[in-house]
Amino acid sequence: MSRIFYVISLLWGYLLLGQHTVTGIVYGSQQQPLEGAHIHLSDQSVNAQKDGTFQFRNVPQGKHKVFVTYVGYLRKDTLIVVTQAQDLVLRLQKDPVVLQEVAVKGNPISNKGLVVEAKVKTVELQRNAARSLAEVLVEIPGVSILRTGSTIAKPVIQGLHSSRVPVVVNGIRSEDQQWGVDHAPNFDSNTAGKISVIKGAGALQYGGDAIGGLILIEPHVFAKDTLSGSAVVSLHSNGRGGAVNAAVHRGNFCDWAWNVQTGMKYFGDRETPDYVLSNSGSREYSFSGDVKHIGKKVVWGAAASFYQSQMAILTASHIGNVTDLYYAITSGQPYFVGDFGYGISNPKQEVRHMRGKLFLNYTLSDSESWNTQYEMQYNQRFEYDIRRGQARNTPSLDLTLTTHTVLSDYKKQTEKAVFKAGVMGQYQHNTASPDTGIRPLIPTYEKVDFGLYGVYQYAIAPKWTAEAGIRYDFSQMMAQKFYLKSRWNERNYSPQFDHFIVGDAGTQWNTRPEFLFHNLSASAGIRWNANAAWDFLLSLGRAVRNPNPSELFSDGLHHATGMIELGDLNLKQEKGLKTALEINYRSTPFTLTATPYMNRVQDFMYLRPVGFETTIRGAFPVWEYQRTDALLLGLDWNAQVRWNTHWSYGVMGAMVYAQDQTTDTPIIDIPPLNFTQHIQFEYPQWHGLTTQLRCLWMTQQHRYPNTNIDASIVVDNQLVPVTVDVSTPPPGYVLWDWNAAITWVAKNKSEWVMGLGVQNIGNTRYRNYLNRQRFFADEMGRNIQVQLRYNF
Amino acid sequence: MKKMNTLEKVQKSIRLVAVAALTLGMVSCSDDDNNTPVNEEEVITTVTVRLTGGGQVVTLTSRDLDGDGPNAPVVTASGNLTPNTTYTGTVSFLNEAETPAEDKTAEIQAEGLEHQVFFQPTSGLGTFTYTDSDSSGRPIGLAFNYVSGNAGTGNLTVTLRHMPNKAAAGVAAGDITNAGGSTDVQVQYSITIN
Repeated sequence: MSRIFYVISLLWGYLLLGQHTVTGIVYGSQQQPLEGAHIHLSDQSVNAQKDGTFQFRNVPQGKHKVFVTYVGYLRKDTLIVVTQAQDLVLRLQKDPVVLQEVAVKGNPISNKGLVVEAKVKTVELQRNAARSLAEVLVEIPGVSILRTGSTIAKPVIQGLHSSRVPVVVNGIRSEDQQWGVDHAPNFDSNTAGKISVIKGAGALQYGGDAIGGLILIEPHVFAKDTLSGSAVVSLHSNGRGGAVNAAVHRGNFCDWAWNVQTGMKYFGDRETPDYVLSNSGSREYSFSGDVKHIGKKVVWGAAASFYQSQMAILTASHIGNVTDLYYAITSGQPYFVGDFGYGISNPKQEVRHMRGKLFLNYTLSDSESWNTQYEMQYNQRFEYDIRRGQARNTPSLDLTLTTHTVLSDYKKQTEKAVFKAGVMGQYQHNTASPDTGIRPLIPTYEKVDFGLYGVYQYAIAPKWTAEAGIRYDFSQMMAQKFYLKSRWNERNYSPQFDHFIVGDAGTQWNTRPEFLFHNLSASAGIRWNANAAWDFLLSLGRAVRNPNPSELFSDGLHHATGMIELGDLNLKQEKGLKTALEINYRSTPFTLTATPYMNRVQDFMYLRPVGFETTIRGAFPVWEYQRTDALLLGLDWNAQVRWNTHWSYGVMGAMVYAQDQTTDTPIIDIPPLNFTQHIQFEYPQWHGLTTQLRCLWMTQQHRYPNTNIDASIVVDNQLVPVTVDVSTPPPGYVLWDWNAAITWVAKNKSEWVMGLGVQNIGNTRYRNYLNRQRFFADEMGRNIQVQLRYNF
Repeated sequence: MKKMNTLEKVQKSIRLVAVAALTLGMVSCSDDDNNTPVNEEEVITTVTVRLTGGGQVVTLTSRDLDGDGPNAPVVTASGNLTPNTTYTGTVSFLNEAETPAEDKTAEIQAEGLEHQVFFQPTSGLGTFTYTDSDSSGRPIGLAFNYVSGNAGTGNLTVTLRHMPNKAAAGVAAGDITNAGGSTDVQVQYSITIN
């Protein structure tokens, strides 16, 4: 995969070397371009063009003071750190209040506060146009991928994922059955303008339950009043497919701005070095658009998006019981390998996600603004299994989740302080269709959420900034579920939960479980810009997460894993306390960002093997959601050396130590120590040539709990007891990637970018500990990727 | 109705406000009163092996009425087998969670290409030979012959595999080792030959 390098963008910026072009745009407080504004960058100065844009060429690497003046507006001072070609967005305020120094990161000013944050570089987003969100995010140190086969990928932040890592799209959390470890985020990364990861629990504005971290997706913002856009075609040899994407943007023309984007991905069966991964194709379609009216004080608009995907699940991973799993593990080969094909058959997943949004931003004064938005999300998920008879084409799981969210946020920014406060209300309805003929994994439910937060940031001294925030969340859930009476008794729910029973349906109880949660979360942070070379950010956050529907209600066989998974109505909220220290060092030619952290999670909910149950399908291991106290300690780092304008080298990596403190054993599915190194050569004179060689070294995970299963297997037609080794992680591996890109700029300033890449150059055979299908097949082999992009 | 306490009142009102704010102009389009349990028509609850020979009929039954629920199957045998006797056998699959019980055997027969039943007795308790075949001439295993061994006791494991690779080595002869596929049924009977 052509991950190359990424930039950790900090609130106060970043330093690199070489000479670069700095471009940008100057706005007034009503989003109008300010023609003729003077922009000073160190000892150079230019005037903004009619559309507000400007350009500085040959800017040396390093920190530069930038100030902008315009009649009737405040002079704006800022410090930028030039690490590469940059595009600045500078907003001037009318009010004669002196502004504090603001960070400009080549993007709009970050309002996220003092949080440990890392951003995916635009070039990475573009290069990975045919990949999933998780595969794009892995460019950030500390982010790994939890896979289910080669098609379903979920991001893991510092060892945690799923319900612990919300995905926030344009300010509102994506509600797409995110609790499921085999449910990929329903999002096409091509629709994102900017993707960043917040590695702490501090971003209270977006929720108080991000135990692991947050993924923040922000839309494209185009300032130019011209029409711009892009078209991309990416072709991949492995899977014999690719992606096409097209986007058109119009920025602020006669007070209106709009964007449209559409894309499609189409892949057939992926291949390992030795065999075809039969039934591993995928399809994805997306469309998004928004329009807004930019008035003097009021910006309002609407946005809509549609996402659909179909993901095949490896035929050979369909197993019935532990015996099947044993054979799969010991044979080391998928039991079914067919010829390459594009078809998608069962088992498979189909999801659809639609969003519709209305928003209103009101500028109360030059220092105060008020934003309100309403969004409706509609999510459908169908999971198909291999079934018999008439049920053959009936999904095994059929969930429809509708979410209505209203957010209202107020912000006041003065010379030395930023105050933000807001309120959130949400209503959610989940329907688990009974027409599947299989008792649903999670029930039908209704949920109401309400949240309130306030965050205050203050520049306490010239080099010190501090922040504190608090948030309250209320959540009420009303579910409707049938419990087998035998399960109700086995779970010891009687008499404690007998008041949930509303009806007797023969062998089952009809129940209406109700839950109510009041949560208080908080954050604090302090940043010290010690000197030109060093700065430090210490952030502390308390997050509280309610048990999700699968943790509460699961009560049956999970076919994909051959396990019986049992939820527990007794589960309470888990409470995380995460402390992270971000250390930044910048000098010539060396830059470093290191983030040590400690995350203590009280009442951490996890699946634990507790025994066996025998059914007509054979014996199954039973895993139960239990509570424990978890401790996660880790370090992410990213270091770069830039020898000269042509050559640079970087190494990033992550390590996590995760321990279940109650049983004093390691926590399962934690990413092992890993390093990614790259060496990059740039030759701007030759069509902006950039080429990189990259090496990923994934070590073997040696810290894992023993969850092996004892079973009876037929050997020589006789049943003999064996141990099914499901816990030992696969050996470590080293993968090499290469990629290159060149750009042609046409006379009308449109440009063509041609990219070429090879992933897994050595066609290495390997298995990945964080792939839930590692028991059944190897990972993908070599892939050759060609991409052509046209920008205008 | 009992009186609401203050906390409940606060909760109710918060909920009401939130719902009112959120559903402005929105009408919930689904009726969430699912008052009928899911009809698990695919489930197999009962596996019966019927052995006819030597002037007797022996029926082995495994019945698991709560499906994937916690209760283990109830396994019974109608009698003991006679040593060194040839039995004609059939195996049938029922869903007794439905009323009336539904026979799934015909469905398996119809989808014979995708199914195979395997028999594994304890060593020395005899041998099984398939007597039926699917449309490609490979066994399904719903009908078979059993030649009992010498007197003794042990187990018989009966497995129904969905989507096995019947072409793999030994599979058509009844060896499950290379069969692959997924197990739909795996039951174990105690048998006594005397």
